[in-house]
Amino acid sequence: MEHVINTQNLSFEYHAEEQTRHLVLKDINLQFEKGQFIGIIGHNGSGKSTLAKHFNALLLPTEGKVYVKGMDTKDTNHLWDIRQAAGLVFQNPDNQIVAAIVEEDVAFGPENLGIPPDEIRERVEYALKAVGMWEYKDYPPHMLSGGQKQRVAIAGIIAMKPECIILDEPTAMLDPIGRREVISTIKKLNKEDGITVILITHFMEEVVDADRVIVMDDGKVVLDGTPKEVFKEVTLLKKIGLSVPQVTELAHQLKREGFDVPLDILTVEEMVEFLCR
Amino acid sequence: MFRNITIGQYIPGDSVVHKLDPRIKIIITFIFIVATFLINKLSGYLFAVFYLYLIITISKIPFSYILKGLRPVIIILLLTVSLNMFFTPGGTILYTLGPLKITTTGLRLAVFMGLRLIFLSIGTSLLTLTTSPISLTDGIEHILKPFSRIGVPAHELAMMMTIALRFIPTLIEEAEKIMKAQMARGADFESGNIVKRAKGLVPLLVPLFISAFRRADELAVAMESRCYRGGQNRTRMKQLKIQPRDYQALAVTLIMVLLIVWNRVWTW
Amino acid sequence: MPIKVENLSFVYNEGTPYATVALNNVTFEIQDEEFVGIIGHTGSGKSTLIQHLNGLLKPTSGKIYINGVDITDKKVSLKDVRKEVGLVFQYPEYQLFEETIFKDIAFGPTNLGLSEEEIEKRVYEAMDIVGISRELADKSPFEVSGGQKRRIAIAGILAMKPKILILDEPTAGLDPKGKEEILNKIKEIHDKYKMITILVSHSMEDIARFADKIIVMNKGRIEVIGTPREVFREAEKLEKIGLGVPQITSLARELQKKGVAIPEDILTIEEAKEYIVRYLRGTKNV
Repeated sequence: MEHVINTQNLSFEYHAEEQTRHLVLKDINLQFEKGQFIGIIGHNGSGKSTLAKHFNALLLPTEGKVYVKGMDTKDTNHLWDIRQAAGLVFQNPDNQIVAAIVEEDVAFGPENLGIPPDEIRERVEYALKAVGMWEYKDYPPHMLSGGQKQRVAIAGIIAMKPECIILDEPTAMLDPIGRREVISTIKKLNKEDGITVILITHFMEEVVDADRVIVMDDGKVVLDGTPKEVFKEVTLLKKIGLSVPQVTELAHQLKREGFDVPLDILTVEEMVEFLCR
Repeated sequence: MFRNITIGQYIPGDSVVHKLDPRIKIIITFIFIVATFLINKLSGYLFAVFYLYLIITISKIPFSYILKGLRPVIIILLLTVSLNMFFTPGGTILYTLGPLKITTTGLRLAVFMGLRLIFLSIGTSLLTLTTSPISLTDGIEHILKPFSRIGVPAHELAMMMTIALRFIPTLIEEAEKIMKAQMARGADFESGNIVKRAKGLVPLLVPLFISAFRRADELAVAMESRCYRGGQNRTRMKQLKIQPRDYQALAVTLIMVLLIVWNRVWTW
Repeated sequence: MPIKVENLSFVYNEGTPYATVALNNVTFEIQDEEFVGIIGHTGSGKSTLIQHLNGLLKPTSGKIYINGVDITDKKVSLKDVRKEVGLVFQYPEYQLFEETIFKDIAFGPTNLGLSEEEIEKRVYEAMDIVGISRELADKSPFEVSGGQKRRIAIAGILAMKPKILILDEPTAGLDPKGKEEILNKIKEIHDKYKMITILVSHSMEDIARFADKIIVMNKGRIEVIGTPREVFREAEKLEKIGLGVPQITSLARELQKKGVAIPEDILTIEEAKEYIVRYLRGTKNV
């Protein structure tokens, strides 16, 4: 079975011609399978956003290779197929909406693909309903909240029928309500519609339900596993500038006091259950 | 504060005029402008008056908005009328005001030119009053499309206009925020002479421009990520279809033009 | 410079069909040297409220007293108010415009009409406080990192030496480490200059750490006001308006419901640990 995304010894630096090497990505080897919800976390400067831009050929590897749906991102013949297969949603809700009306913005992607008008209409309706924004189809973007704008951006990608959706810190500029809207939309799309989702974020709570969490630091992958496997490495996570849920930190501290507390507790419910057995 | 801004003068409605194909409306406006210039006697204006009255009534646009549309041209109007009235030689002198003379020819010319300006103004503002900026953009893009073969960048122009329409409200909001932030640092946007005020705009304009460029950059990346590669092989979800009412509107307009031409040619 | 707000109301677009009530009869007091947190969702009125405190907005009705002076009085120059009340907006790095970092930070003091020596002194002082090296003074503000830009913008307000410092979501867009740094820095500034500091946020965790007092806003009204512990005891109210309490506080409440001897106004992990350790040693000690 072909991986949706496959990176082989991927290394990257921005100015390869300069004397001093400053690798932003160092020998990344990752394979992502269809239908998964993958979280990539790291502090600002860890290389996670740079990695995301390799997944749709916005950036090309300095060394190594990136394959999307089996296509080499360096192959210019496949550029547009790659970008249709790997849809990218960005951080700033405003600066990815092109049209003056929601409906027209969601149609932008399919229009670029030369899809016939009637089919575009169907896709737009499906996409807007999938993110819960169909009632807003005639709204201008400046009358929407940040969370609503991001959902429109997601709809714009869904309308292109990609293999996977990559979201680069989509909630960084949103308030808690907007963040909840966007994350629950993403989870629903993954669970109910089977869309492969790669979420890049520094909010740990957002990837607690992921199938797989990858932690990056200084251009390298330092942890790779299920949320429980990753979050119990509290010391390492704190060292690289990330935080864990407060209950996980508490479990860690209790363990150090000598109590036999499982270190992979992530939620209040789990902690209460354990303590009140 | 500016959340509900409507660009230009567009007043939403569902009259027949609103529903006309934007291409037809643009063409009709063009024809009307030409017709206005063809009128060479005051009587010719009667046909224009009836025509405009017809449109205004069908469009259900309140007359007050039509008059508001004349505000920008008031100065030119006054200038035109006065210049023609005072400085046209010939005819009988009706009134003297120092070096200025009002003659019958002058008066007639002033009225004529003034009316022409008024009708041109009303005719064009009817277009923007009844057509949303997005429809206008669509109409312009479709009209220019056949000319893209000879190098007119129809798609690019339409894309530019669409993006401008999309970002104007956003940039206005941002300008407000920047103004407030600078006012919090003691910036003064209100007092002082023209020069001082222009200098005072730097703390507003520099961040705004930088922000606009940053947005453009990010937007371009987002567009490319959605497979944008120019107008080639691009389809459009919204299709413009000519309806019977468009033909009817065109016919009525042409009748008006014929009447004006007849009026011009017929000398009694 | 204590602050007293009485029955403050504000309506946007008053008299038009778009009129919206942003603040509805808000009353509260802030004492000297207090560190206050204002929390609420977008649309709760918190941004509108702080813009009244530095005179950017004038109330539709109600009064605001700063240091005993009614700033809503027509005779009071709002420009004078802004000299004493510094307001740092969200994403302040987007307001930088000058050719050099020095000049940008100097913009505020220059508008105050200070002497060149005083301006220079204040600019360097401000750079030191926020942690921008003096060597960068002649660099363009657009050449440095996003985090540094934000600190430069904050320095621009600090250089005006306000008696009251208001920061609107200073941690917006930052990662956990960035947030820590900036919050600690704000606390440092508060402790050093003993100014009233008002922090607007929608993160209860951020505010609870340092605030003496928390004002919770919802739909233009004050929903809850008090010390962090007092506010956290109203957890149901907070949840109803969509704001939570920190996860650790939530844990304490759930444990208390199950009969564990732990108060429900726990603020930090350390506090919770103490009570839980006692509980574990008590019950598991068979």
